[in-house]
Amino acid sequence: MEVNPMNETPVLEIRNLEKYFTRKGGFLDSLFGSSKEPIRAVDDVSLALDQNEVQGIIGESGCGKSTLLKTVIGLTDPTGGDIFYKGKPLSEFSKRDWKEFRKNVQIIFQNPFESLDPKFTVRESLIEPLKIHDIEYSEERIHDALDRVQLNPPQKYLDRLPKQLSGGEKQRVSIARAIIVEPDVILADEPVSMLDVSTQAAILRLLSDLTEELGLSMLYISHDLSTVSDICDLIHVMYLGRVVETAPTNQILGQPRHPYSQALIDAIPIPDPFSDRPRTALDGSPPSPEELEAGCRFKDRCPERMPRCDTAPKKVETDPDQFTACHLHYEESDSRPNTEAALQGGNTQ
Amino acid sequence: MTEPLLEFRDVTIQYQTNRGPVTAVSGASFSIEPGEFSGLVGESGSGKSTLVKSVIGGLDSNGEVTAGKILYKGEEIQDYTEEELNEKIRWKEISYIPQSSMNSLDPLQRVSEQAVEIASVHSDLSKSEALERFKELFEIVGLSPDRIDDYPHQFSGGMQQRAITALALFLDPALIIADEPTTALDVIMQDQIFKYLDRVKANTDTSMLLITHDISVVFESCEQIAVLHGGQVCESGSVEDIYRNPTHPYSILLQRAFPDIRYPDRKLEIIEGHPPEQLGEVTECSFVERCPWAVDACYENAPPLENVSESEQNHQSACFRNDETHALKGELTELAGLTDGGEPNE
Ligand SMILES: Nc1ncnc2c1ncn2[C@@H]1O[C@H](COP(=O)(O)OP(=O)(O)OP(=O)(O)O)[C@@H](O)[C@H]1O
Ligand SMILES: Nc1ncnc2c1ncn2[C@@H]1O[C@H](COP(=O)(O)OP(=O)(O)OP(=O)(O)O)[C@@H](O)[C@H]1O
Ligand code: SF4
Ligand code: SF4
Ligand SMILES: [Mg+2]
Ligand SMILES: [Mg+2]
Repeated sequence: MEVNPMNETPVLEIRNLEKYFTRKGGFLDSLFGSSKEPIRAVDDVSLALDQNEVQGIIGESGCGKSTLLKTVIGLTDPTGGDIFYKGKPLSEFSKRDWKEFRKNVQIIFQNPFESLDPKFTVRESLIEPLKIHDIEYSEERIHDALDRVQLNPPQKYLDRLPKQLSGGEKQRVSIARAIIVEPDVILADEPVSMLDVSTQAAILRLLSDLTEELGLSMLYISHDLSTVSDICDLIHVMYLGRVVETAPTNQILGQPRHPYSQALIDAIPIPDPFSDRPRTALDGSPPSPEELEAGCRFKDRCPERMPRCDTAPKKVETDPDQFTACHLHYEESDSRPNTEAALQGGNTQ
Repeated sequence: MTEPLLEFRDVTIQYQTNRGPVTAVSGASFSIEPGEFSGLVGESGSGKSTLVKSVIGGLDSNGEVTAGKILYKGEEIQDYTEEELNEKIRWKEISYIPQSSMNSLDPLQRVSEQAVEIASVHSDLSKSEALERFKELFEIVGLSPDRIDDYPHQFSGGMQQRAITALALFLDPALIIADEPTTALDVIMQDQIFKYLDRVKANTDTSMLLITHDISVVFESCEQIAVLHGGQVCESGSVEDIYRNPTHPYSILLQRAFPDIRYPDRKLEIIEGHPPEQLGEVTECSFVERCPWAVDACYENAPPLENVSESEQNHQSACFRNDETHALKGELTELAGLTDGGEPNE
């Protein structure tokens, strides 16, 4: 990550963020006094998002991507760490700060089937955020938002209910809802997963144009690196609650250093019948976040596993601007200064 | 040539709605040979699910095959009754993995119970034989055989998809129809499932019809492909021919709209517009409103599927300008990794 000049505060910054879910043990557990380990859905994640910057968070299903976003936006309280909006910690927010934050930081939820109220027409869905944020309602504003997400002509859609929209159309309504209040940060949770490619490309380009035109910043979540390479400046690869590698997009794609980043890239299908890409070498799925052992969280599936992987790897700068948490990339005795890594959430356990 | 396993001949399917009949599939023809993996691709709403549901009698009650024939091993099946489908087709000849099949396992039944039930209705297997066989299939799809007695919710999404694949393989069908089997999964899970499907392909004679909107998946895992747009089959052939020599304007543009991780800097192209909703009889090329090379003739008739060249077996395209599209393609900007002008890059 680029080091910020002193005078430029990131729009959004996360430091050592943790979200643990505690599970209530069953009756027998309480009887015998055994307490369950918490689910560490987000564990020590740090990042800083500058104005106009788009960063991606990539990882498998269940690695904690949605939880991270929900925590950042204040839908659920972090169990540790800090979140700063324009330099001010959320924990010190006044009522007024919250109101401003809720308007300026918009989330596009992963599942448009859940995020749109089934009883609201498209028009009502778009008016709602305006009402909440005391923004004057105008028909023009609504048309403009629908126009931007290419629901054309707007009249065709305004009076439809969600059940009268295709999955892709619902997803676009969710995006329109997010941009209609003119936020400065968008948190997008797999916003194109239900669309087919040509629509995907159109939405990605739209989001990318919006960030340029409106000076927006965006955190973009996906499990598919190939769709995000176009719009993200920087990518964080997440595995089981932790960011295991961070690097500019081209570096992640061209020279992934973490074996898991490599596996994610290797699993992407290639639109070429002559490509002979081998199938993924990974077996199984990530262990349940309830049953984490000590050490590198990827070790059960890692083709490069070594004895020292039983201790948690620290994050080191493997290449300029590229930070990787893996024992392959430093010696035990390595006492490289690690200040940059600390900024990245790269301390050990 | 051997007899195709499944053949669609000029199939038209309509849904009755209060706005009149919606033609979801019109004049579609293509076939699947024994032992072959075939992909059916197309945008959302292009009629993929409709087409395959017609094979196993799964159309919604307002939908009907209004013209054409569906032949299974040479026999017409489009008018089969429920009983005939149950007795002759479902599970043992053709098994079907519906779209959003993650929800298609019965949540209240152990997976093994569902297998035993299928076996008792559609085969002569005893209960213990059925369980034995089901365990073997769990092994093949990469699930631990001692988990056959689990309930669906005890599996992750990817494991459920594999359990469904095991059920689909269970009675050793000649054909599996899988509708978007991996769309809801992440890339690693998707690749794991295809790793097991590769194994099925290598070890059995089963054919597969794979429905997806992801052309990459078909290029990697199938031998044949049919491209659907607005209910019409616009192009079909071997994946190699369609990759090297896409001829229908929609296939040409579709290929250029796909992200390829080997060329991250490639600017993806967008196919403007949407497929039309066809009310009543279809009398034009369904791509006409989006096609950069449309001419008057394209509005007057639906173009027939015709052979593209003598050298390429079974490569067909439905465009009035089949002979010109290679030249027209030259107008488009060059994209990294794609050949220009249609000459194969060996
Ligand atoms: N409210 C909750 N209570 C307990 N555990 C939860 C809760 N929400 C999420 N989790 C767990 O936290 C982990 C991360 O879930 P999350 O939804 O953030 O994953 P994700 O990366 O968004 O996955 P996907 O790609 O499937 O959307 C999972 O193991 C999940 O089961
Ligand atoms: N029961 C129905 N009544 C009326 N129209 C229908 C019905 N079922 C489907 N359709 C319409 O028929 C067309 C084809 O639908 P179909 O489900 O076959 O598309 P698809 O290619 O499978 O799309 P997707 O990729 O979104 O699954 C669509 O326009 C759809 O709206
Ligand atoms: S630390 Fe060890 S187990 Fe973890 S990714 Fe690196 S090599 Fe693999
Ligand atoms: S028939 Fe006409 S409109 Fe259709 S694809 Fe060919 S040129 Fe385009
Ligand atoms: Mg999620
Ligand atoms: Mg479908």
